[in-house]
Amino acid sequence: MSESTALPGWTEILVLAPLEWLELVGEQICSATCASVAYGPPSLGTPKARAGCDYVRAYVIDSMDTAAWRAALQARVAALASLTGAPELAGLELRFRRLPPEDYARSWEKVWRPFRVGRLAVLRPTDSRTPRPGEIDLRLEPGAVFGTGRHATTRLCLGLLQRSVRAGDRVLDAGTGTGLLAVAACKLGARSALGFDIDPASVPHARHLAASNGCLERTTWRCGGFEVLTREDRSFDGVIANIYSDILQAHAQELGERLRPEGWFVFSGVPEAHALATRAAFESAGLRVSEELVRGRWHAFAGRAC
Amino acid sequence: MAKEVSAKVKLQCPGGQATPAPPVGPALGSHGVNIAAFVKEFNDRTKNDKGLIIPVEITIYKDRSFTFILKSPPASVLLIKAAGIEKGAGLVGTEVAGTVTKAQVMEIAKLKLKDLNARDLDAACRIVEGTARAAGIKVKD
Repeated sequence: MSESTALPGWTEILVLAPLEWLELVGEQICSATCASVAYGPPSLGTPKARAGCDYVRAYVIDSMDTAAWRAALQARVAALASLTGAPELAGLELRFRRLPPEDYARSWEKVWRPFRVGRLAVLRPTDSRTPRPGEIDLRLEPGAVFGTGRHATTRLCLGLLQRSVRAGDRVLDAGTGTGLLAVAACKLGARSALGFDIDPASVPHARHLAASNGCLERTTWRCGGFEVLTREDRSFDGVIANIYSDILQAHAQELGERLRPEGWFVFSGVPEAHALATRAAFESAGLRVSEELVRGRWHAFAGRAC
Repeated sequence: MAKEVSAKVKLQCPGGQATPAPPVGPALGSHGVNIAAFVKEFNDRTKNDKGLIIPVEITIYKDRSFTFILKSPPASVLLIKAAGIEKGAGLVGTEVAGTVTKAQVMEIAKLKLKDLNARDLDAACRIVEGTARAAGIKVKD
């Protein structure tokens, strides 16, 4: 039996209900096989709900979707107006739609495609493709923290890292998010990488990413801002920061002080409107910009400490 | 850097027991979100309220990352708790499952006001009272 045939199909129950009563209507159409409900249009192509109303959706496994079950559900919803004393709940119309079986846990893989930046190939954990000669593979499972690694600033950093990282480097990654850039540095030859981020979800995600790319032992992850760095966390060969431009500007001096003389940096997260001011902040902090790349409205900078 | 919001999705799921099945799957899958990652994080954050229905609002960004905030429990859950009963009436309209006071209704309405789409506290009280009647819970003065 194939995997898809083992999965159940579902029936969607859709109701357009007054905004104030969405929660109650949702509870009425919940089923024993699915206690959850969703609000809002069922698909991106669904017409917007009329003013004062929104869609409520619930689901039932299709083996339970019988004529008797539908009739009972319709009776329950029809009784709401008299039970609550709210005439606006009269005449709610239920619409039913069958959904084919689907493995929703893996549906993101349909819209997420592997991509390459120079020598780095960013792949899904389940991709069986073997790296081509000279190619370095990076396995990424998108999560809450930073998504898919496809953001323009991430791609700019991945490109610049390939020209910056040398074998044996010690690297610092400020605002590490998924840990993707720190892990990429390790895959490119860095001896160690220290990543930190104020988002508590970052550390477990980054640790998982490092483990799935075989470099957990070479990485250290901390939760917090710049205050988590100690006196010993200095003389790095390279510093990466893909963060908001105002934070880059405010911490340019500190980022520079964490580098050894002539150490390299790769910074991004800078929108067009802030590019000039951010570059000026780097140069005031003794950071010599040697390369500025642009992708869409985003800028990235690479260079060395004076 | 500034993340661009792609969509906001509202769901209600049982605490600690969400699964990638509908409605989570279709609601988030159409935006390319890693559903298993959402389910894991939601269940982790709600593990102390296992089985309790918890509304959640998910913000999805253009890079398909997401954040979510948990909202106040549904009015019916709060009413059942206030009435000190296990569940609402099986035969609504003929059976009284429990009783709550107007003051308790007011407290629940205050708690739910910002999540109920109600224009003011009176409107929120009306919704909470209606929800009580629909669950077979009597409201007394």
